[in-house]
Amino acid sequence: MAKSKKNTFKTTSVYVTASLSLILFLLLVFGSVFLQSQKVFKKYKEQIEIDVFFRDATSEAQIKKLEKEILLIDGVKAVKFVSKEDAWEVIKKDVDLENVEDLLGGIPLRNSLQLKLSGDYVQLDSVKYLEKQLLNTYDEEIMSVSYNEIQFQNINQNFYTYMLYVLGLCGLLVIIAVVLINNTIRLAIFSKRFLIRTMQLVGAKSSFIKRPFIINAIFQGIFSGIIAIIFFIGLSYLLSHYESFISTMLFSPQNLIENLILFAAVIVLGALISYLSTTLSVRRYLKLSIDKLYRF
Amino acid sequence: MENNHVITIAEGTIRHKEQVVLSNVNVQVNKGDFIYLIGKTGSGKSSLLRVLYGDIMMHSGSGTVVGHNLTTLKKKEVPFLRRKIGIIFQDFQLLGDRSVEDNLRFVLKATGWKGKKEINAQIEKVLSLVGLSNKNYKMPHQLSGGEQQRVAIARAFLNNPDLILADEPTGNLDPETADEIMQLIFSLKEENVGIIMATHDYRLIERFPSKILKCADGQINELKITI
Repeated sequence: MAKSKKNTFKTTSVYVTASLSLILFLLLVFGSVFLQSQKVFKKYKEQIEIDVFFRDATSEAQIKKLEKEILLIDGVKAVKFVSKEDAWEVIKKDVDLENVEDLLGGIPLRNSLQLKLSGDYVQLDSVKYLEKQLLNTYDEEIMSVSYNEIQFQNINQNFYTYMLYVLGLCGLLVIIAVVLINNTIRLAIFSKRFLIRTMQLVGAKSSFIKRPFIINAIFQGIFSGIIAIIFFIGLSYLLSHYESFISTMLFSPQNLIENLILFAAVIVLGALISYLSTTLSVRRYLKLSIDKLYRF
Repeated sequence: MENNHVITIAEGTIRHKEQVVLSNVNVQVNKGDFIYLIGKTGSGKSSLLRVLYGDIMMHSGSGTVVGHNLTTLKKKEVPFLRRKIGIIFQDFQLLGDRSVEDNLRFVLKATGWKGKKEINAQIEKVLSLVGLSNKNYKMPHQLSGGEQQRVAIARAFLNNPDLILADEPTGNLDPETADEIMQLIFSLKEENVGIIMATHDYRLIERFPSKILKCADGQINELKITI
């Protein structure tokens, strides 16, 4: 019988811990996706290429010299020389152009440099400025600069929209977490309202009554955060076997610092939600008169 | 407190939710007094007791309980007032989530007791006073009603109170157990404690005669006749 009473108390704690862990786990997943998205997006942006085509008169040696100069321009991250022969080989793989070379009397392409930009420079304004700069500076060597204008125009806007959704979802989760956990904790404290009343009647000060509830709440929050982290690492590990892209957005050694910050934030958040809800609930019952205590 | 008074109320008015429950209350209780408080349900017995243990404020008049002024009593003072009073309820109101010993330990710790030895000695003392020395490890729900009430009495005695307030302490007990509990409470007079006991049980008053205060028609009056 003694055990059954203790179990009732434990069950309440288990419910609170379980709800809190689940919500914190979801927050970890979305929080991590939010943080890693910027990294992934930056990587993606830096893959976008700009082609700089040279006039036929420009020799390969000149281009190689220019390659070094262009690499020094702000925002240019990588430069790769693509000879017209190499480019022709690539095109030939996709399209049947066997006789075109004979018909035209040579390769109908130009030598080019393939530019990749730093993430921060991947936007239309910067690219246009770069194009102007290249054409003005190397007018005699460069014939044209080619890139997908619409891609540069939309990429940031699309990403901001995506981030806004993820952020909104995180915000929504935090609100749900607070409401849900607050309700669960309030129910748990509600079941102890007569215990609190008795404690008051034997001359215990409010601070003395609150203390064990608050200590328990903080531990509960921290414990829930740790459980959420274990689940999160488990999920990342599982996904890494099946879906490498998503798992890189979760827990991975490359994201260690972001992960650790997120873990600390989740533990603090868990303890904070649990602490605040408990304090408010206990204070409410400490102030309630006996008449109201029975009227719930 | 000097003059041996544990309660003095003069011209007191007690309200409950804006309604006057008792007016012109004049009560004086000394150490060693045993006073019955009788009256119909709703006549104001419990309201008077609640005023005495600081649960509701006295609306007007003057009064002190165990040295605390009832008209100027602040919320922060209430725990300290209750430490000088032992309260016994009809439904025992023990902490159901811990053993008898831990119930008593909680009260001692909550009221500023520090040393482990002193705490254990005091628990042992009050449990033997109520004849429950061998039940210290039991949970409240493992005890009979009479035993639970004994624990509540032991708890009321932990801080060597000047006053015991008992709100129908035998109300939930069978007659035989009620007699035993009554005998125990009645014997506490000898500990130089003032006792007020609200009850409906006239049989007990007959068996253990003492001074009677009757709540009726919004007034408290001493019954001069012995029932």
